[in-house]
Amino acid sequence: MKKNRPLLLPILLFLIFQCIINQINAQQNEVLSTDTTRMVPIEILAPKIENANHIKLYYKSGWFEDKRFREDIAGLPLEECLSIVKRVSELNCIAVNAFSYVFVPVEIRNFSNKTNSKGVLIIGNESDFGKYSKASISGKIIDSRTGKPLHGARVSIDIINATTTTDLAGNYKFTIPVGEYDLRLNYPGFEQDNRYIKVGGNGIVDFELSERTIRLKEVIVRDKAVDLNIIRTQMSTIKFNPKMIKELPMFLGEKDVIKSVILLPGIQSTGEFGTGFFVRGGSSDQNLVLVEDVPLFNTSHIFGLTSAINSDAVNSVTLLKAGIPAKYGERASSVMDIRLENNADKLSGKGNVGLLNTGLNIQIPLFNKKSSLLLGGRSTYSDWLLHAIPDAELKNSSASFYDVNALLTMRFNSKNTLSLFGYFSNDNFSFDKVTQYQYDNTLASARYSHTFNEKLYSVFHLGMSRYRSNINEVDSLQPTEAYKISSTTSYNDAKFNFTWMPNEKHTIDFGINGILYQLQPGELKPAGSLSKVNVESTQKEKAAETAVYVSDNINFSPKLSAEAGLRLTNYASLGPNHVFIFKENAPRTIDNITDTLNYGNNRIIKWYSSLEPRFSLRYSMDKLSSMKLSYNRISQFINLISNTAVMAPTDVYKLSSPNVKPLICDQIALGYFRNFKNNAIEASVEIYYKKLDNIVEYRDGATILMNNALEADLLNASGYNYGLEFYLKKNSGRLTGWLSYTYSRSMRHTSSPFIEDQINANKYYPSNFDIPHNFVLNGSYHVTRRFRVSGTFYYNTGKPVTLPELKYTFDGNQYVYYSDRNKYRLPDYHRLDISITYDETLRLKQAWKGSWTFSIINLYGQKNPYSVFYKSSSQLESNFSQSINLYNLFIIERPIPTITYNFSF
Amino acid sequence: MIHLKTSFLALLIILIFSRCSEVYNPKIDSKADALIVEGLITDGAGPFSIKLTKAVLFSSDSISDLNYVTGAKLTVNDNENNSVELTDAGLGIYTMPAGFKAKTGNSYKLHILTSDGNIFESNDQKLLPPQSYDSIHASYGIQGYFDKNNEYKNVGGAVIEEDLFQNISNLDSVPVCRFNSNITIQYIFPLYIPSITDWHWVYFGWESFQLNSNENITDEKSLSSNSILKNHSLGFMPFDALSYGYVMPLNSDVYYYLRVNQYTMNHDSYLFYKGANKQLAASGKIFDPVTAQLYGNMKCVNNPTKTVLGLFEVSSVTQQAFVVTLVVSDKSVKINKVPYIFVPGTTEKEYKVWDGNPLLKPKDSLFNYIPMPDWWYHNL
Repeated sequence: MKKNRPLLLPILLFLIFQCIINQINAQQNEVLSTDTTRMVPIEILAPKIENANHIKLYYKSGWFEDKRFREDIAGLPLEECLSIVKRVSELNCIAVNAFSYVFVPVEIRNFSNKTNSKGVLIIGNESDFGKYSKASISGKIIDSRTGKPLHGARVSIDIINATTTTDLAGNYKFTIPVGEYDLRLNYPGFEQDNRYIKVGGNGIVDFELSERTIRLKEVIVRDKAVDLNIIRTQMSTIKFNPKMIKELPMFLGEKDVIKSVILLPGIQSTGEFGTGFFVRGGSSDQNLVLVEDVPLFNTSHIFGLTSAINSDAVNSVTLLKAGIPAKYGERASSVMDIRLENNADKLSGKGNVGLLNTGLNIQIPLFNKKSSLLLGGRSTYSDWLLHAIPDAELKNSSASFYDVNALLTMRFNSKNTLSLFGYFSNDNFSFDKVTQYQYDNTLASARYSHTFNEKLYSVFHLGMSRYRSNINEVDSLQPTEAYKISSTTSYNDAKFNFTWMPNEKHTIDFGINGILYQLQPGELKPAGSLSKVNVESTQKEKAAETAVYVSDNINFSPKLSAEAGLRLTNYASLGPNHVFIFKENAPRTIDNITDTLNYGNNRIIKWYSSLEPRFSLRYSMDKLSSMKLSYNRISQFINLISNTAVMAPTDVYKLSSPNVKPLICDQIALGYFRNFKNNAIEASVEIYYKKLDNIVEYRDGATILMNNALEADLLNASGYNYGLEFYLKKNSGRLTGWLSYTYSRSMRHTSSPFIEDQINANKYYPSNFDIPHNFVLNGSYHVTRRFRVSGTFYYNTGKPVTLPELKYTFDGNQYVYYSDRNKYRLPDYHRLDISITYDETLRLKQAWKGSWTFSIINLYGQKNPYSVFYKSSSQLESNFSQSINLYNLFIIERPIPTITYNFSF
Repeated sequence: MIHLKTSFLALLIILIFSRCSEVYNPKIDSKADALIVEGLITDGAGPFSIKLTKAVLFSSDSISDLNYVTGAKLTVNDNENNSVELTDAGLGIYTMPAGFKAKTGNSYKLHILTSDGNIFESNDQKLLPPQSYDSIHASYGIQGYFDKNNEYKNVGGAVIEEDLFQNISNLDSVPVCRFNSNITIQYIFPLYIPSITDWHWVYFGWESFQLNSNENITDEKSLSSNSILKNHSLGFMPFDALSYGYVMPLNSDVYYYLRVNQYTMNHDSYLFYKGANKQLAASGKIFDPVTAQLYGNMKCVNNPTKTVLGLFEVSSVTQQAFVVTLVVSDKSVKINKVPYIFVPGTTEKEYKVWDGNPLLKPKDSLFNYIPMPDWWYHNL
């Protein structure tokens, strides 16, 4: 094992903090050194701001007519300075990128159209002023471009701590004392704006927020509510919007939303290129990855070289690690909700040409923009490249994939929307044409949204997901032994979700959903007419899972909000199937199977019920900080059966049954969130504790494939995970990025009285996902407005591993004796990737825009072990001799340069 | 430019898809000390012996065979209260008395007292009745294999398969078998070397090889309604003498003598060999199980934490022998049953000189006749 580098982490932490502090100090120094107080027009002020901050301001002089500014504000921190200019000029200021800011007229429109001569918005009858002490304000907030209501927009008056959010129909309502206020409107992805209002009585005021502000062709300039991390009740949330996705670190020259989440606290990778990920010490199958509400079973292409989701097609990604709302269930550790982009008002597209694959996504408005269609696809060309390489092994190898996706959204009217979604991915992989791996995902869904009235909204969803994997062993020289093993996991579901907002304090979600699982764990067939392999299949599995849930998001006050929910899950294991009866008070081994019970089609074999409470609480200490607490219980009825250290195509799924109890996970989490520098810097510290029962573990050398008695190879374990996550993110300026550090543990143990059913004599041992230290530093520096340099440094403790401790000879062969499970660790992992991007032009009328990204993965050529395996050499001799060695496998052991061209039109 | 681009792409693919590995020497802090037991008794003719060694550290350059255990007292007891003491023959080998033969239906237990005072015992091992095969057949095939230089080659040879268990009517009692197949290659060829005597030199000899590197066992008790096991592979036997490391003229006479020991195992032995195959199969494969711990049927009585590995196997055996011949004209393979005989346990090639017609008996350099082995060609 390699030596740890105990000094590396503190040094890096010190350097990063030093860097941030220096920058803050530099900005403060600028303020101190300014002493002028002259009032100047924008034409004089703007160059000073530009020079002081190395930015470019765009504006129309006419909009600043008669406006004068103190000259010394140019020395203030940029955001403060721009805020003053905005306030005085009554214009919006949009950050196009880190170097370009554009002033535009405010895009809030008051439909009541009652403004006085000073532009103050009058609410209520002016003649009534003084009559009432309180007034009720209500209305609707909509997207100015699409006319769609904005759900979750925040309307607040800071001075009296009055806050409300809009419902699904975009409605808001709150009661405030009469008076004059600064009204603030926030919505993720939209510009935050203030409006001065004078409230004399009850009134209805609609606002129209525009995300258009400045739209530079495909680049939709958006901003998020920068304090969303503080004010939302939900904790442990990671959210990527399109702007963030655009600036994500590149992996082999590709944006990859799933890979990018592993750079964030509490999330770890399954391997060098694994796109499976572990969330807070849970296995990869404990993550519910939803694409347009349909679960994706295998999230990777070519064993994780790239993820199965085309990032160019993605509109948003939300990952929930704790406090998971009651409407989600099924998987114990996390929910990743991926939404595709499909809201173009004209034909547009995005694509990329990389070294491994090419992709294209086109958005087509239909029927007078009432409907829109997203069509996308990717394909690799690594296959023909491999064939062209003059290397015997590679020449006979193949690695290829493709995926296609489509999303049709039909907006019949403002109350009814239907979305149809389809996705298919296919992977083929082989090294020598003898063993071929193939797997595919098929997803489809229909989603119908209906708004009953201002207070009630519903979504009905039908979905299906199918994952198939095949292993073909087809040696042309041994055609009689050629075989094909296939397995299929099918998932069909229906969901009916309602959102009801009886008043401004409550948002109640309730609904039902039902899932039908159908599994064919293994089917062995002869491959080719000459094969003598007998047809065999393992017993199919079937089960139904239903759930009813209700949750209420309650805004007690601007400072305090909570979400409480309850989910009742019922699960039925269904026939046809057989159930092994194990001898009582004996190890659950194949030898102790005393009987087999057979069940007919759709007969209920075993019924499990689970009541799952969910709770989240948020308390804001002030506008810049809050504390959050959450608890959730989730039951999981489907398990990925894998006893390998890395994700493998040989893995199969298994449903809960009388002998495989459902996994139950209880998690409690506590977090402190604080923003600095006017929300330019976000920081959070979270701690969590998870308790897991009925974890599926494996006997040594369990047989996964084609094992009719698989349950006899599985062990029941329990365990706990805990951790502390620290996150610091800088959102604006030339230098953006984040620092993430996680300390976590993930321990397991068995508790059987029988030695055969024990792991490590029932002592606690580290799970495969126990990676105590995880550190990520990601930064992006904008050298010019189009030219940026990015880098990502990773460090984590090596993965637990079970290693051979002894070796011996028996019957001429060399065997090994392993250590206790996960007694050792692989060497620590660290890697530095860098990329240089020349971004697309910002010209408005440019029809075709392209950007280039050159990146180097593993800049300093660190050999990070992907896995450890042992290998014997064998010879066809009677005095058969073997040597046996342990090997580290590296996927990338040297710097890998890549170049990618991304385009849009 | 296009060419350069393509080359760059190809280089990238190589970089990405080339699996790179290197020997890994982790720091193992094990103080593990494991006794290895390797013993087999059957209902066949002996002699039988049990080998005691100790496992070595994984990082060690040594092998356990050199770490033998002497000075132990070994006893085999059966359920009829018979007790047989083994003799320490040195180098960790303990021999059963001559003439010992296990009895079908009896259970046997191995008892070991090592010089450090530890006591090890096996579980009771029942000797199950022997099973024979229904049919054995061979066909011509081409397979890849690693030669003596560890190079992968394709070669023509005999695919040897066996059908079993036709007469088993009770599915609950479908036995499990282990095969130890041994091929003896016999060769003789003249080589004319011009000299003043005008004598011919003729080489002949034999060498034996195991047909399988892994343990060859039948599948577990069938869950189907049929106990018949068809086409169970005994192994692949190359017809090319070069595959065995011999360089000889094309017209050389080469005979292939196949001996098959078919052991009918009890459950403990079956589990052991099944686990052994899992370990062997995991070698070199990154997608294979992380651990396939191999436990045997021994335990330390006085200290349960003490590790003892290996197997005391009690199996019945049937022994068959065949001559396998390639019919060059139609590339068919003939397999003829012949007597099962003892082949001297040499792995050395022997070469002799002869003074003329290859059909005559060979003589050595002193013109003394060299007696051919009595099993030569099996009188075919």
